[in-house]
Amino acid sequence: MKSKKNIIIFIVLVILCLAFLFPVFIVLMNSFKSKLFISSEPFALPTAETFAGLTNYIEGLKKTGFFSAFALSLFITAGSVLAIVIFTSMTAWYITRVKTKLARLTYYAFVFSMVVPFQMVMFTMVKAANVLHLDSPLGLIVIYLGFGAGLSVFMFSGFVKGIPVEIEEAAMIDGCGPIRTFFLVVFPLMKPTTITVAILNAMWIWNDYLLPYLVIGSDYKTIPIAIQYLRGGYGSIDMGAMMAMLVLSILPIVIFYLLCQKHIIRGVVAGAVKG
Amino acid sequence: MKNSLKKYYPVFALPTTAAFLIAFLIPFILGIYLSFTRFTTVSDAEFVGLSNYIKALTSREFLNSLWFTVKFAAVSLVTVNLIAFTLAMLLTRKIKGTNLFRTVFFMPNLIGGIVLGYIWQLIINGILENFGVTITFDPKYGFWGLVVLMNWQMIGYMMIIYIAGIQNIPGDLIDAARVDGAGSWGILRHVIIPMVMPSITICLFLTITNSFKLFDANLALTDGAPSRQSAMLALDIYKTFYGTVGSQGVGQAKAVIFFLLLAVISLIQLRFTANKEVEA
Amino acid sequence: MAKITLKNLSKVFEDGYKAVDNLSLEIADREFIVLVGPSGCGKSTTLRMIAGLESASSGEIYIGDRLVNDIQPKDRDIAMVFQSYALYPDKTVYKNIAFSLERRKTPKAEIEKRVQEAAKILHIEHLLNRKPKALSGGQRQRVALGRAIVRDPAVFLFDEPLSNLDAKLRTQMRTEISLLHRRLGTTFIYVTHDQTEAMTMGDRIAVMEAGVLRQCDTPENLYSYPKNIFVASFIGSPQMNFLSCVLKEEEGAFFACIGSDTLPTTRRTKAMSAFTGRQVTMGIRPEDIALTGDGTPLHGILKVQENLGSETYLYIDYGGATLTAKVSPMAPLTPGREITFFIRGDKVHFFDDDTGENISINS
Repeated sequence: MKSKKNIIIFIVLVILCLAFLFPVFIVLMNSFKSKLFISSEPFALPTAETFAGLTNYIEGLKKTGFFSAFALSLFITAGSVLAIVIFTSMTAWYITRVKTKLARLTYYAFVFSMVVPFQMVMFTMVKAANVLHLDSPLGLIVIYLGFGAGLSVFMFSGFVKGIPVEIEEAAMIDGCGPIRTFFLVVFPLMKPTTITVAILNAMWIWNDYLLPYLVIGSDYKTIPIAIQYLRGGYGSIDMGAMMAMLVLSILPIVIFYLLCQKHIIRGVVAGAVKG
Repeated sequence: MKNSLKKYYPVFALPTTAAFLIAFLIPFILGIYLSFTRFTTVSDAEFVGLSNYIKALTSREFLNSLWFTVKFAAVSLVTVNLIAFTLAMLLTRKIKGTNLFRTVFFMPNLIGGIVLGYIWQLIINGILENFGVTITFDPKYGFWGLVVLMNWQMIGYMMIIYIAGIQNIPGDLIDAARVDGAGSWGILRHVIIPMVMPSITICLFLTITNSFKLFDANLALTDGAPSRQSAMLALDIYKTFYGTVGSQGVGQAKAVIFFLLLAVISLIQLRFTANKEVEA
Repeated sequence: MAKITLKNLSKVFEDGYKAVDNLSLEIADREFIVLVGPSGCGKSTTLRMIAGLESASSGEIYIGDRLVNDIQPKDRDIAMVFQSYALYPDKTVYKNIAFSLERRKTPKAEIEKRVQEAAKILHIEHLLNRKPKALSGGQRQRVALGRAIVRDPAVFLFDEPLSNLDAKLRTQMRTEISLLHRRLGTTFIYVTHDQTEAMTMGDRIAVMEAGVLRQCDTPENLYSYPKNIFVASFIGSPQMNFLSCVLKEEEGAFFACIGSDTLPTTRRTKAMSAFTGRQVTMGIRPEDIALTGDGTPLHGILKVQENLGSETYLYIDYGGATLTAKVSPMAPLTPGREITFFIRGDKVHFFDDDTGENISINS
């Protein structure tokens, strides 16, 4: 009886799975159809008449400058994640171990920032970025470090609280100053949290549209900006190019996901439970 | 040791703190100040008291987007969590292919809002095509479009959290309930649900805050059309800032209200989780 | 090589808590000294100040002839073994032991040699490639010791290193640390709350209470001549018995009057004369209570008898107080029955009720 029930559940799950994959499949399929047939019959398979080969991809790449957008997204995401991981872990360790009033206040400010939605600081942050000449890809990394610091400091602090101080004291006696104690002893211990923080921030920054659009959008395009640009720039949307670009932007995410699925899922759960 | 570490503030804490000041704290404080002023470029701010707030709270568009957002959050809350919890229950029964199912269900969560918006725009427009309309024809299409989109994106995420919660239940407890004569329904009600209550709290609040903050997908799917009737709070604020000349002050006031709403939700969540910890 | 001098050392924490109060102590080179006391007595804080992990609020710390108050832990030429071992979890045993040498830019070959040597002394050669997680408690303890001995430091500091081990392993490691001390010939400072550990390991024992050094002496002297009631009660197991009594002096001889009983004692000091006729506390070690003897027979009720094989403990109700007697193995008696016993009048101690000072020994 139980196995019969399980078979039914299995079938239901398979159907649901297909339903979950369906949207991606539709986009993929349409990316090979000529643009005129996409909106009119999106669920029809390409036929000899509607098949467009790689035309959409070529068009899309030309219109969006996808490769440079990809490179820029990669640069900003990698740079920001690196900066966030290194600097916020250092800060978290410092403010957890040094129990001054200032340290405690800083900690609460970071935690507080997690509650604040981007729209609250949107206008003023963009202004600040302009005034301080941070409206460049490199400057954007500074902005991400500042805006992403809350969750990351919070998560690292939670981890530091669990590290026995004695380990750090042993390092001090073994000949380390604070900098070496951190990088040779504490930082390697933080690895699980480092992965979590890196993944959460990478997902956010890679997909983030509004912040980079407002700060550097007039001169630079990340992938989400490039995609949105397909609509904004050209009265009616070139659906063919759009489909092709959607496929190209999903592809790296899916590859990345399949490669480090375990870490991603663990990181996301840890982030949710602690955040 | 503590004393010697104290001196290292510039090395350890300064870079993050400086970036934090620039990207968050100063803009935040300035934002609160500006919500009481009329301005276009910050430097020309001129104090106007509460008039921005009055304008914001009497703005049809704002109230409309607020109601739209609340409705959206409520519907998503129910659908996302019901489906995610059910899936989690099904995927903790040691059925073949569990890992593959989990992988597929979670995948949409990694796709960004802009891309999500255009994917679903294609599909929903494809369906509405049969009725001769598009998604921007009526805000209710946009509403349900966003609900479907939200479900597609969030179900896998919530499901993973529920799975973690369910797997943490000691097997003994379920065995004990079975020995005590509980059926599957009784086990679910009296053992599983109470035991995963912390996960449920987390998921409910995650869905609510994510629903409230939704922006990218809203922008891509409908861009608020028709005439801003399908705009959620975040999008309405954005459009107030950048769509209408001279209304930055009102936009900032709306943003402060938006922030206060989210702060209240977070405070409630804090109370909930704090209570739970006492019980545990 | 490295004697250690603590001069008027005090530690007041930021919240105002005074952990160590005006402590002065001289530790000789190559001495094995044990700081002992109940938790919160300031023994660990003292050790941490010597290590430099805690700064002294006032007073001076000398290692050798060098004032080290403002010197970083890493420059004090010390090694420390922690209660939790504090091994680096992500590093192998070899790396754990070599870590301090690497920090000091010791040549690789030299590191290799010294790690192997230390591993050999501690019998952990086969564990060098493992991570701490894969070790048992006793093995971790050895690695922690190894990490300390490769350094060849002037002083070894131990902060309750055996507390996390089970009883059997603790006894074994106790012996090994004693042997290690003899082998290395370095100054050892060892903190514990366990008086048995203190008695078996230390050349001298410093007993602390509430931040104050109560007495520092050899184990034998602490046991036989406790300076005050705290030391008397803390050292020795089972604990010393205490009875309230009134001191009497007749023709140069002293008597302790307990209720209607009068017990002669051979103790005789000037201080005792001053307490004649006053109430004091009498202390009797369990082994100084016997069932046979020639003094004043005392009568009590036997409550419980514990036969340990090599000896027997009797718990006797005597006028409302419970006395513990340690006697030779014997056949079980009936609990609840009256029992006659004797207290050795030459071994009792008398303590001032107000100050707790021992008035029956000449200091």
